Amino acid sequence: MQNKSQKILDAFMRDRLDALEPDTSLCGASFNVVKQQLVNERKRKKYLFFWWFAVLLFLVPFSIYLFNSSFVDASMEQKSDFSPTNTHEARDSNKSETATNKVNAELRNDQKSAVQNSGNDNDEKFFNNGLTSSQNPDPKASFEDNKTLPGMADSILGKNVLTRLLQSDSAKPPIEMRLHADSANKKKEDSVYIVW
Amino acid sequence: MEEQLLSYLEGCKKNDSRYQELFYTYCFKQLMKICLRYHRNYEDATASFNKAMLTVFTKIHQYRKEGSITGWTSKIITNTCLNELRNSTAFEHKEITEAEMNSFHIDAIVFGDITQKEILNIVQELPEASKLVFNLFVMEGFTHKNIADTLNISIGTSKWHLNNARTILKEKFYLLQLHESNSHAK
Repeated sequence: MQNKSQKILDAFMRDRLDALEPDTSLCGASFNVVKQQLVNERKRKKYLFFWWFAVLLFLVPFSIYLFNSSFVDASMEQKSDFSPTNTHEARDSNKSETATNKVNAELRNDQKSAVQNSGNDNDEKFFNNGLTSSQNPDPKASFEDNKTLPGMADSILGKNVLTRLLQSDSAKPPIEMRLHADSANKKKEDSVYIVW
Repeated sequence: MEEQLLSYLEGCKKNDSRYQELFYTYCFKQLMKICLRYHRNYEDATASFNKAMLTVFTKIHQYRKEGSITGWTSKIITNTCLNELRNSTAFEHKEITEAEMNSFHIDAIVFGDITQKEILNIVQELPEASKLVFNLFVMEGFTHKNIADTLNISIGTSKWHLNNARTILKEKFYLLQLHESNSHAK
């Protein structure tokens, strides 16, 4: 609780200090300082905005690029996974079917020409086919003979037709076919061992 | 006047420097005294006032027209002064009893011929901590609890500083009165 003297003093001080009129002669000069500070503040905000804008301009495309590249990497990894199942599925695809059809057509042509050019000695031809197919498969071997010899078609596919297909830009076989050719070559070496 | 102030306010919101100057001049006349009460000299008071006005101009879109624009601006000015002085002022931990506080007595005769300028000078010469408590209690209408919370001091310390300010003011008034009576006698 305040006593009377305290109340009188407080009221007197409040009254006099409230009625105080400050010297306004320097008001204009003082405002110019504030005006300048306001201009500086606006400039600072503008610079800050442009900085943020520039950072965003860089960050947004960069993050999109990062996202895309990680997505592409993931899909590439998935594509390059050549498990037996995947190879089999790929073999069943239309692309490899088309390539196989081409190969069969060329085989038939080779067979026709082989029949025309073949001699009478079937045993010798058989021996030659069997022998050469291990090291250097004969492109003129008959279709029937190829059918009877395991690995012959594969060797022909690997060495002659597929090689030509691989060399031509228009009908480049898929990587599964090339892998198949490599495995066929390996098989061929095994078959040589059996023949000998 | 309030309508005129609202037109200034709209101009200030559009960053129109003419309206800003008009509003600044009005506030300088009306509210510069707040800064003068808290600071020791005119320069410090002007620097503090300019800082507060910069805040007013940058935050003017936050004014919701719920109270008067003068009251809103004076609140910003008071807070600016408080923030500046709160950290730089050291408060000694003092306690005072109710009996000591109530023993304060002053004769009404000492208020005689004291001018506003003399009163301002006396207030400005008060010790920083006591001046701050006196301004908050007498001029802003804070309670001792509010002052204690605002300045992070105890209620007893707040009471002691208020009593100290009153005692110094009383002494100064007596001295001034004595000086006045001596000059009249001559």
